[in-house]
Amino acid sequence: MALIEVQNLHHTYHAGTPEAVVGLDGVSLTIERGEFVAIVGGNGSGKSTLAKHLNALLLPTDGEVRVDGLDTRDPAATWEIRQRVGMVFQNPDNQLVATVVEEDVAFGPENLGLPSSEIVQRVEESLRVVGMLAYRRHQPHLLSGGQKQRVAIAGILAMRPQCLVLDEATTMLDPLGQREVMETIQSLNREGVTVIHITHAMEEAAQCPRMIVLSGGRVAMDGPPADVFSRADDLHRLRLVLPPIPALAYQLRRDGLPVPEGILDADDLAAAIASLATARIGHGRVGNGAD
Amino acid sequence: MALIECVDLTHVYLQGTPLEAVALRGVTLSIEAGTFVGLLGPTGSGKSTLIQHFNALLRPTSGSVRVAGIDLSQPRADVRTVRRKVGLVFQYPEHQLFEETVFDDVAYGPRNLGLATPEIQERVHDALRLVGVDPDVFGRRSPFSLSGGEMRRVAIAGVLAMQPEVLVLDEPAAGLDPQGKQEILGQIRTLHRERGLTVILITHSMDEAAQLVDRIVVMNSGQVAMDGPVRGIFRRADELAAIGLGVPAITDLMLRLRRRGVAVRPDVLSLEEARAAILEVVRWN
Repeated sequence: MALIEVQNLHHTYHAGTPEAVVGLDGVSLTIERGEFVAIVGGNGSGKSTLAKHLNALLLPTDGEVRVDGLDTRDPAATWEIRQRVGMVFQNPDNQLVATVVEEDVAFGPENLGLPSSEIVQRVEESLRVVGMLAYRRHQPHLLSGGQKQRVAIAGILAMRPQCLVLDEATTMLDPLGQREVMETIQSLNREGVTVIHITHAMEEAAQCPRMIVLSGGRVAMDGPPADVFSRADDLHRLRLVLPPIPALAYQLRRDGLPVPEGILDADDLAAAIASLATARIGHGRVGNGAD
Repeated sequence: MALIECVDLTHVYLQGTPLEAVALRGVTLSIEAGTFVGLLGPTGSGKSTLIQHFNALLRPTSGSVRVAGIDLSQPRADVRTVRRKVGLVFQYPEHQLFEETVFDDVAYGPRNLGLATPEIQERVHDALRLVGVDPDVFGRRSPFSLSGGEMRRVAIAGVLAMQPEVLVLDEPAAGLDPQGKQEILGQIRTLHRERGLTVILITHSMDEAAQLVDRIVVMNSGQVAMDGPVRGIFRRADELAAIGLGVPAITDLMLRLRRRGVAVRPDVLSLEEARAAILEVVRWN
């Protein structure tokens, strides 16, 4: 059984009123345990609406969502679902509730009614995993954006979820903060946590093994980034753009250079170009890299 | 004389309290009329504090700021004139929309100037067109019925309707989808090129800076760490990395190629320049 099974999911906001807006229009997808999936799409494509269905913050207008076999429409299952799937949101300032970092992380486990020794252990472990243990007695509002998001992630990890859903959790961060959060979720994924990362940053999506592209409340593409990025024209129609490195590789191929398909990162492209340039040694244009 | 001149500008928040925090330490910087300047730096480096001095929302703790010749370190400085000349667009400006209709929201500033109705109408239409929002289609709609990108543009139009000489934008593309980003940045470039507006852009994105600005000022710990033409700044990749910033993805590729012994020029700013540089070293004859 897959961890998340979404079948023919429809969601309409303000259903039955003149303001009715279709958010999701028939989404079906399956996410296995241990996957690392990026969800991308233009503004209004349904990304956040989908995310909120994964831990029963929103319920289907039609179709169904199952988490670890539990139906999100079953009110008796809501709390079990929310323990399995934790959400991190965009604004780091809206997610921290306590005045000390470790109390913030303890908030969830305390609500589970766990014994205090267990709570202390979970808080320590979660803060260590996100690299924030040294800040346990700090005040959250004095941390940087990236640090706040890592504390928010620790608060969720303390609930021992199977799946982490990040809804544009890197959007408001500076480049360093973005890198901190990406590295944190990559290491969590290596330890077995399923990660669903919703983002506008195509460079981040390129680092995930699987990309789901939403458009108009439907799944428009679903596959490895190398495949998705090979469809530059389709992406453009979906209000998305190729990240710079795949865009340049695509352009160079159109110029007739034998650059391999599916190149995503700068080092691979540099290697491919360098080997083409080396083939020209003796023709006087390849130097030693000096000015 | 430069349009904006900061000399040894220092700003301390909550001075004399236990929460005292030095946000700017001795910033000296001048910005000429008609330029397009990118202001970069990690969170907490002082960028937002600095720009709030440009229209007198904050006053120097010590040192001075002059805008169009008006010395803002003087308590009785003509703040009204400065605020008309310098339009500030904060992060997520759409959170500040409040009127019933798009037209009224953009007209709010010009009405407060006491302008005549036809002039207000003209300014609102002009400002909306500048950001690519058709006043005849959107003017009567509620700003809250618009998409995120449209709301952002209406909020910027509200600042443009004041007809500032300087437009200061704090992360204008944050949170928009990739095409929404391109649209809004393209409109800002047009404002600069066609209307001659002086633009100061705060951004975290090196790629945005590479596309748009002439000059980059890098802030770190309340000081100016680097200041110069874009190409020159991107050649200093190691210094940028040391303060947590990178270089644009394309510049990074060029540096990697050079490390592999391929003699491409390192200071390319766009995909087109990179493509030309690569084709030159790779193509047979």
